[in-house]
Amino acid sequence: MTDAPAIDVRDLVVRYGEHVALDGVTVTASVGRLTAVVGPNGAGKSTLLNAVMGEVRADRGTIEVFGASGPRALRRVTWVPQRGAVDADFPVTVGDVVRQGRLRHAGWFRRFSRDDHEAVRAALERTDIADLIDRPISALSGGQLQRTFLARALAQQGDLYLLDEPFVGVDAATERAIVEVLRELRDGGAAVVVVHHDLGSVPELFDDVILLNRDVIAAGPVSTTFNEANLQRAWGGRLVVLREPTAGAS
Amino acid sequence: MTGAILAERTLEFVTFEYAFAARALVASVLVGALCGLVGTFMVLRRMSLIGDAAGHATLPGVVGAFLVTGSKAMAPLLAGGLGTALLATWVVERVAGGRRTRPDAAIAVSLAVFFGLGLVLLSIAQRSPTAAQAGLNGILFGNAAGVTTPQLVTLSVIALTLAALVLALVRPLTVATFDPSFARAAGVPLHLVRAGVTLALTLAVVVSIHAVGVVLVAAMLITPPSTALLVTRRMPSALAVSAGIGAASGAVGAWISFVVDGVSTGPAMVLVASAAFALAWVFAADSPVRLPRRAARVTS
Amino acid sequence: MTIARHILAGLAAVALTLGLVGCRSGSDATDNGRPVVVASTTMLADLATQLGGDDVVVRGLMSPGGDPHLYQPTPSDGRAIASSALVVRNGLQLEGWIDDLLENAGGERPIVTASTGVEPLTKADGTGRIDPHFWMDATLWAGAADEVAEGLYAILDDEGDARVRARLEAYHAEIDALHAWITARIASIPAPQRVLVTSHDAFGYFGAAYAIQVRGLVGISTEQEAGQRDVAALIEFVRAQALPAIFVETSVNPALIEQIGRETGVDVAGPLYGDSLGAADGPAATWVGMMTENTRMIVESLGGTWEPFAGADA
Repeated sequence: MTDAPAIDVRDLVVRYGEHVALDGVTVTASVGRLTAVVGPNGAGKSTLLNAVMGEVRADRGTIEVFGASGPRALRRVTWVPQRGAVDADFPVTVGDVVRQGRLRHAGWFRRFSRDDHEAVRAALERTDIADLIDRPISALSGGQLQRTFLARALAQQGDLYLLDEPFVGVDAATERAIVEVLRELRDGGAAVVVVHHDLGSVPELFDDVILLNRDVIAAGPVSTTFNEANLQRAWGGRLVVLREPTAGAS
Repeated sequence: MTGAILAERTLEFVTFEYAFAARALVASVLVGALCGLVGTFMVLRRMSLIGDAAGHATLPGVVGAFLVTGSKAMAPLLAGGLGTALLATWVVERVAGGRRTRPDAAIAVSLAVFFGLGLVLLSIAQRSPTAAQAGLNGILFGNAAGVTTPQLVTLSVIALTLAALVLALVRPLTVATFDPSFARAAGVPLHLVRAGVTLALTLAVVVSIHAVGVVLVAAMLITPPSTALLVTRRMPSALAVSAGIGAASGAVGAWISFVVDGVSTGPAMVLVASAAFALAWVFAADSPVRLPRRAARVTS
Repeated sequence: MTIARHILAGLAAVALTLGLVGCRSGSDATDNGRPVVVASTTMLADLATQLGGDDVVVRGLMSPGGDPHLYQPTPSDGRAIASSALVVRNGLQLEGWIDDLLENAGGERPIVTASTGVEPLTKADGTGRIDPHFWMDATLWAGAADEVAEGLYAILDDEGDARVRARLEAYHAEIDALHAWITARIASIPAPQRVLVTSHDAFGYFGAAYAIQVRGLVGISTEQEAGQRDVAALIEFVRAQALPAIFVETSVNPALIEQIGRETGVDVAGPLYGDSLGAADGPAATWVGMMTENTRMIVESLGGTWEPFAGADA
């Protein structure tokens, strides 16, 4: 493991035509931390992840992943998409999707090695979908589909995990399962960065937070950074904060 | 037509009594299989009609090549057709890949522009003083019955090469089609893959026009894959079934054209492929048509 | 994305320019004081020229080698008709596209249907489709000449009429001589070989007038597509007749006839002028040239004796 942060973004500007999605963002994400990226709609959260992935081109600024940039940097990156982003009617089974995670390892032509098969099996077990291995993804529930993509990410055995709103529309059991897996990954020394939609659960789930609204409003450990002042700045003063009695979990 | 005549003609068909019919059969089978194979990727990307755009976009290239060379020699005409078809599909990919125009609109625009340009060139060719523009239409409305041995050799080489490439690269092709972002992250050169599939599709269209004509090429690129997707669950079998249905449509279509008076091979092929789709749609596992004997097997 | 935009803009500009180039400037119904006659096919344009001479300006809608069954008219054709004094068309359902064109051109002018008075042949298989290729029979073409002359009388003055009458008489003499000559030449083909196999049924009238059996691969209109059975049937026919040659045509795709030639080993001759005259600098630039050239190719390939047509004085 190098000393370079998992993600090192400096002065990143991304434009879609006239619209400026990210306006000079400078931020880092570290290994061994669970980092949330939060912000209002249109803040550029997905754009930030897309820029790290090379999906969108940066107009200005630099992006380094473990100290490297360009396509080679992505070797250690694992991507878990938004659930709606992928065609659920595609003719693939759960097993096919998870096996895609081994593409870099097995290459385009070689048969799967024993390590490949083992990684796939372990990933399926870990996400509790081993019995679904031959099921077409069109027949999965939302939670099962999300676990499938998570299993694919696990099979990849990367060092940086990027997840785009993984908890949207999943049942409580799946949410708990995903959180456990992410914690295990973090404890194993990976960096986990999650675009997250539910502010209420940030303090409970994450170590670090990045408050984004086209620019970095604040970034750092949740305990010091995730406060009302920063939230109000991020949401432009249009956020209503309801304080719940802290007794009992949600 | 009596049963005796049907039997007699079918016997002629299977014993390759006529060389031209044997070539028509081989050409139809290859075209069906090739279009079924390559078309699957476009159908999955929800860009089914891009084959239609490519086919229609051969017109300006073919007519343009004729106007420039003054002759109807096959090689320059096909080269011209291939050139404009590639340009048209490149335009679709570039325009559709952006955020401002949806893929279906991009396909429609490209088809309209290129085919419109082709029609303008055609009317110029119609007015040209040389009496040689006869049969330019024939290039677009190909007839399997007219396939020559050199054309068949070209078709075979291209079809088998493309099929081999698709089968060898099925893993990255599947991932690139299913989840482009993940594929890019996994090191698949997405631009190259897209360009490769587009080139394969355009080549398939240009060599298939001889056998089925431009209007029907689009049908052969869409119908067998759509049928396959109704009855298979995984990618390798979807590709195999699509190619198989395409090939079978070609064979049966060629047989129909051979035994029935006045039916051209291309339309016959498309009708067979469409019938296969209709059957699959009715009888496939999750069909909305409930047939009496299936009622007991309805599960959640 | 800007690259694609530039290319699309460029293509649109090219298309627009070509569209404008395709336009011809209109004029009134006369050209340098001479009335304008618009004719649909190249054969009719030639006929109008033969009879009208310098007294008219003839504009043909189609070009040599074009296919009148499949022709797509353009707005400039509409303009040409709108600025004409007389329209000459074939009739017998050859030009499916001309009725709309005439209606949309507006205005009024005499319309000559050259096939008026012709007893049409129908297709041999009993479908009842009318065969429009009547120009293949010289005696029927003589009738067309009379029709066109009537149209010319209507738009010229008395002196012009007199000139047309003189030309008509001379042309009739030539047509009569041509008819006799063709009859003799075709008769010189040995009877078993006197069969004309072509791309489509364009030579029905020719066969009836000059006693030669004709057979086309597809029917009367080239809009039909041949199936494999049609090709097989024609192969059997060619083999059974042991023909020395089969023929392609100028305005039809030759691929299938060539295929039959390959399969049977029979020579592929031609191209015959079926639906259109030949290039303006070639031997079939006029209707007389077309008929003599066709006859020459038929006679030479099927084993008859050849001598050139000597004109009306022969």
